[in-house]
Amino acid sequence: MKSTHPQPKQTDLLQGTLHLLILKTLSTGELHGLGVSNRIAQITQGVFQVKPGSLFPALHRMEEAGWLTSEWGASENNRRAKYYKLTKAGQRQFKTETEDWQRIALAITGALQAT
Amino acid sequence: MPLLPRLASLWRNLLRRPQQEQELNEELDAYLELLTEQKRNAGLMPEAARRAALLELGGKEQVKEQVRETRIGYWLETLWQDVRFAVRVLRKQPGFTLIAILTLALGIGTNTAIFSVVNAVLLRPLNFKEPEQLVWLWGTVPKFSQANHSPVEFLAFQSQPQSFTELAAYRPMSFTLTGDAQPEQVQGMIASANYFTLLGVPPWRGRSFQSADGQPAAPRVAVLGYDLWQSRFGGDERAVGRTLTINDEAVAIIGVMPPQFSLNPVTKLWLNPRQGVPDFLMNFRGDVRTLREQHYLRLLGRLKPGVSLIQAQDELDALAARLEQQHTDQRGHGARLVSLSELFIGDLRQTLWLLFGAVILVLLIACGNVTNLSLARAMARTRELTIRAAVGASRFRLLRQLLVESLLLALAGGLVGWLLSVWGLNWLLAQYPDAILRAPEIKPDVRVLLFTLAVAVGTGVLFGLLPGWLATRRDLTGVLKESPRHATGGAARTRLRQSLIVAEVALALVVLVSAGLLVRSFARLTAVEPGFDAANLTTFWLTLTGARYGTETANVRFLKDLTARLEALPGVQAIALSNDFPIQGTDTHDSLAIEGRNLAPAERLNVGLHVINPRYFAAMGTRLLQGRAFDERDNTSAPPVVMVNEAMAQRLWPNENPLGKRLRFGAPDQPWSEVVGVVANLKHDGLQLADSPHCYAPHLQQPWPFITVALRSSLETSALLAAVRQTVQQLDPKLPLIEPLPMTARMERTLATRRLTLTLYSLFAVIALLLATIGLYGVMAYSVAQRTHELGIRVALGATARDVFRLILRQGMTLVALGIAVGIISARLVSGWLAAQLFGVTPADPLTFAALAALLALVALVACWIPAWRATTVDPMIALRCE
Repeated sequence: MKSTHPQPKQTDLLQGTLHLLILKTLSTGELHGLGVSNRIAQITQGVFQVKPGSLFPALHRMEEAGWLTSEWGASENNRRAKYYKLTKAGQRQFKTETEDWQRIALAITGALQAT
Repeated sequence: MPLLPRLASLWRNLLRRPQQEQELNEELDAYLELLTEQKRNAGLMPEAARRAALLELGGKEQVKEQVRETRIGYWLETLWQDVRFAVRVLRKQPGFTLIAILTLALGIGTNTAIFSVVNAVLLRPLNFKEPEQLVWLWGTVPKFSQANHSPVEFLAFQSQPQSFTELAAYRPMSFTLTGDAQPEQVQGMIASANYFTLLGVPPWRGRSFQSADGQPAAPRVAVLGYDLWQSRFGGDERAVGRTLTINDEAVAIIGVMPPQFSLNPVTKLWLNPRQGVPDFLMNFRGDVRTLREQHYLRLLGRLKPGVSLIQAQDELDALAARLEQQHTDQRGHGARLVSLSELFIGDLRQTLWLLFGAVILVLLIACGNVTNLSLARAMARTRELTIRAAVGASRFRLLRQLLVESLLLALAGGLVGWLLSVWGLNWLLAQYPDAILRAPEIKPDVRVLLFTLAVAVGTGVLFGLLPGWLATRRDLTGVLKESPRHATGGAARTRLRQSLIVAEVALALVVLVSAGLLVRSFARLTAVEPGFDAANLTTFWLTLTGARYGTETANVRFLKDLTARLEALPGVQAIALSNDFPIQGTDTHDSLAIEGRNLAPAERLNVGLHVINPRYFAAMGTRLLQGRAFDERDNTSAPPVVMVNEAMAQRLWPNENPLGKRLRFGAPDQPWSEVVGVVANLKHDGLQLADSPHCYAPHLQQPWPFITVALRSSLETSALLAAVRQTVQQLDPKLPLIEPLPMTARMERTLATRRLTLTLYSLFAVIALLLATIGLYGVMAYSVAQRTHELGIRVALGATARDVFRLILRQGMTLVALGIAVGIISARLVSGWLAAQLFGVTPADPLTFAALAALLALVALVACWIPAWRATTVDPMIALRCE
């Protein structure tokens, strides 16, 4: 049986914005990989469906940068899963990237409205 | 991304690889399970849920690969993979690998060898303090600019130190060491007290000279060289403070210098002067400081920081002019500065650059060969590469793989080449010990290692890039369709192969012609008439210094006795005594006043002066042209006489009879000497120099403490020596023979550098020829193998074996002819630079060019013959059938 959710258009996701979204989802608590992609889909109203091929490289990249740490734990239904959590550095990074994004967004919006 | 976490991750990635892989695997499995469960909860059947989950995952391996790719240090891992793969591939083709490595070893090794020499001689500074400030002062007299200085000049130059912080002088001397151990003769010098301060090298043990040692009444002290300390004292720490008897004087040892400290490797000992200025002779009784006529001092200076050579030269010129005004008989004496390193390098610089040029050409030929080999191999691997491209390998990745292979080959070749060069150079320098002045310093060091590495890497990139580029072209379908059997790779690749061969032949010809010109020069040089008969001459030195020979009478008497006894020895036919040996250089020069000609000092002729015994010319085999030779009657109670050589007679008295003319050396109060004979020209200063004027005085009238002895005998030197030694010992047990050698060995020494250069060049020429020939053969053989199909068709259509043979041969020889043509033009350009090294041969010598071009053509013909002959053995049926 097919899913009844409408399939929104897959929008190209720049690596930077993916990082930002992952930081956002993890800012409220720790999640495992599937949890992250579900949450991203949720908070973007289904606009961004992150495939594992993009998600996992991003998660590992961010872990290497020291913004996330990971540890194995039990999931909701007692299955083993790898949980990711923001580090202090990650929180700082989240703040920085959010500010950058808002500044960029403001500038572009203003540019588009200019005559 | 912050640095520290990056490094930590890099570390983790490299070391904990297996664990990470496993974790990733588990993580993805976990993801899959969770997703499946999620889908099941959404309402799908377990099977469908699992399938949907798998679809969404998009392929576990792909995801894993994508994660791996983003990992830090990923490229490093893949590089390591490439290296391991390359090693495997190369091992599978040992033939290619071996040939490539050997070829590269020859190319890189020769470069390393020459660079080692360049490094030691040209690049490394001398091991004195701030060597770039050190200068050498040649004395200039009219018509001769490599003279020594007199004490008056030294003191004058030293007293006005505007440009110099220090100016030191020394007198090379031969010392007889007697006393505790065996009597020994060593070369050394008497040096002014500031000698060691000027050079700025601290002593190894004890102390070196201080200014107190230069005071007029200072006791005589000695500083030992490291080698002498080891050889005579066994490195004994208590040697400092002991007393040595040197030339019958008791001298205290005050210190030892470090190893390899010396301007001249033969200097083993340094003594301080007795009057501040180095003595002319150790037992000289007069006041040395007033000596004006004796030019025996060598001068060294250290420039003040910031002062240039030109500024110092200007100051010295002004000083010399002032001196001339003060002493009108200074006869235009001045000084000429050269930097000390220039002195050491001499004319080796040009020779070395020439050799360097040759090895670069050899390297290019080697690269050409390996490029051709790589091209052939890349063609064979096209299928493999294309398939890899088809399943997703990027071009960069493929190219990198091929580059890693070529770099591995190049580094291996570099390593073998390095070893070859170290052994080869050591062996070669041992054969020619006198050829290069700084030879003991030629050792591999960091710079040479870096150079070798750079050459290897550069070579690897050079011959790997082009074939790699061509092989990884994205021509998928065409390549996959084409049968590898008769794929020549298209016109572009064939043209590349052919151009490489043409270039190699041309380069080989350039090296061959250069070597040929040098060989002919050397042959011409050794064929020069030296003006005496060099065969069967046993030679040695004696130094009649020391108290026993203090008076002229003692000196003369000794030599008279010696001559009588030596002549009585069986096998000895004649004896020649002088103050220097021919070919090795004239010891003393002076400018003459000629009776009847009032010449200003600056215009006077500067001639070589030699003191000889009466039988000298007869013994040396030099012709007497006019007049008479000296005899026993020409002694101190007879009027002074001289003999002149032909060059001098022609110079001074071109249309007159020189006999009876009078000339004068020295101060105006000296008596005139009459010319009594004219002899043929002797090459006193070297075979390659033109004849210059020389003048001879009888030993009985001008006794000299440093005597060269040449015995003409029917016996070999080795056979004669024992008897000669015994004879001398009988007369004076403390007088050793210095440097007993056959005359031919002495002449050989002057030719040593040239001979070494020649040997090296010829070696490189042979290597170049070998490599080019092998390359030609390889390309021809490959081409024939690839064209089996085509040749089969030709034969089937009626071509005879002869036609096929001619076809292949003609194609091969066309390339060779083209190469030779280009080579001749290039060689002519290059030989222009060679001109300074040539003797008796013009740079455009047609004989050399023609002979070597013919040789190359012949060898190339042989190289083409075999593949051409093989082509005729192609069986058309087999050729047509194979696909």
